[in-house]
Amino acid sequence: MSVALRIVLVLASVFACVYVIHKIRRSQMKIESAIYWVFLSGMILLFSLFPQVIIFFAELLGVESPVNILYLIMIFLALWKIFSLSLRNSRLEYQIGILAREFAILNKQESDKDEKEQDAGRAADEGADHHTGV
Amino acid sequence: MKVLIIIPAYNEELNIERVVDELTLNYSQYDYIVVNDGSRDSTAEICRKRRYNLLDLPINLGLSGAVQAGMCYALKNGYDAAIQFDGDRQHRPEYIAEMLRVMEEEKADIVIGSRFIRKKKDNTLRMLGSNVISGIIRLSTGQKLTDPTSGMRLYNKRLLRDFAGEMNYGPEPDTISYLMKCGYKVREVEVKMDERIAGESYFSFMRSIRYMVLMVFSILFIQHFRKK
Repeated sequence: MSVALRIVLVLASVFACVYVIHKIRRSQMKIESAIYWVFLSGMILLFSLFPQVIIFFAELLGVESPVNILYLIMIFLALWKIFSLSLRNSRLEYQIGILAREFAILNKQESDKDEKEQDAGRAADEGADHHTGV
Repeated sequence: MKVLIIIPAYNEELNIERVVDELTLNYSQYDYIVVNDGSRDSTAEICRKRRYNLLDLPINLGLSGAVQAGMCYALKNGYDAAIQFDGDRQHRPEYIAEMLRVMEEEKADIVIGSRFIRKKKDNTLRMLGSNVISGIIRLSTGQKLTDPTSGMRLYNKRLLRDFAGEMNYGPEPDTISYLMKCGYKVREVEVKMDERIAGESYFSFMRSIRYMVLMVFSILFIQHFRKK
């Protein structure tokens, strides 16, 4: 890995980390979802500060250019994240569907009750009118 | 048998009154519910003004979501069966009695109103799609469905429970195919349907393509790996 690339990676990962923390401070991100990004940028920072780790794995797997290992790890983590988001999205859609219909059913029960009371009130009024002979 | 007619309605201000009025006037022996699927037009206002039995979804869930909401309502209100009935005047209520009869006499779990029991399908793109789905259902289950995309379907109580509670139970051909594989009894009854006269369909061209890809993928591949 060239020194220039290492500098870029260090800057990028530090910036990513700062940005995520900034988002938490402004209450735009939950801590649970921030953990992934902080760890990811921490890992990239580690690899660019100590490229020996990457070189070790590159030799182990027979990859000529050590930086390819870094890319491989990043792509793998990104795909895994997309998959877990897709999973979460499915669940959210399902849950929103349930919420929407429960809301609609409750709403209907309320308005049915109101209508019944109104009808009953009207009937009572008419009954009273009869009594007074109006 | 206490049956509920579920009428999913998305932007059906031009049709909804005629559909419901026909039911209340000539078929008052059946209960119905209009499920307004977050329409952007005045469908909900019309229903409220006319005091129709209305389930008003706060957001748009799509056809499956609207029908499932109706099924949930049917279940909570003690119905024994529910029929999906389009809000665009394509379905005719005179066939409901026959569908109920078949459900009771043949102990069927699902009864589908089919346009093509004796009549041949036209040579349109839409009917090609219908043929493809029929073919893959036959391949997958060994049973014949002449009109798998028909939206006029009667479900019994056992199925209402599944549809109301489970994920991946949209009232669509892939679920029907899966249920057939699980041993549920699906029957078809010959019906006539009218062409849509007013309003826009749920299915635009791109949506239809996506629908077909999803159905083929789901019936041929995914449904084999589902729990029975």
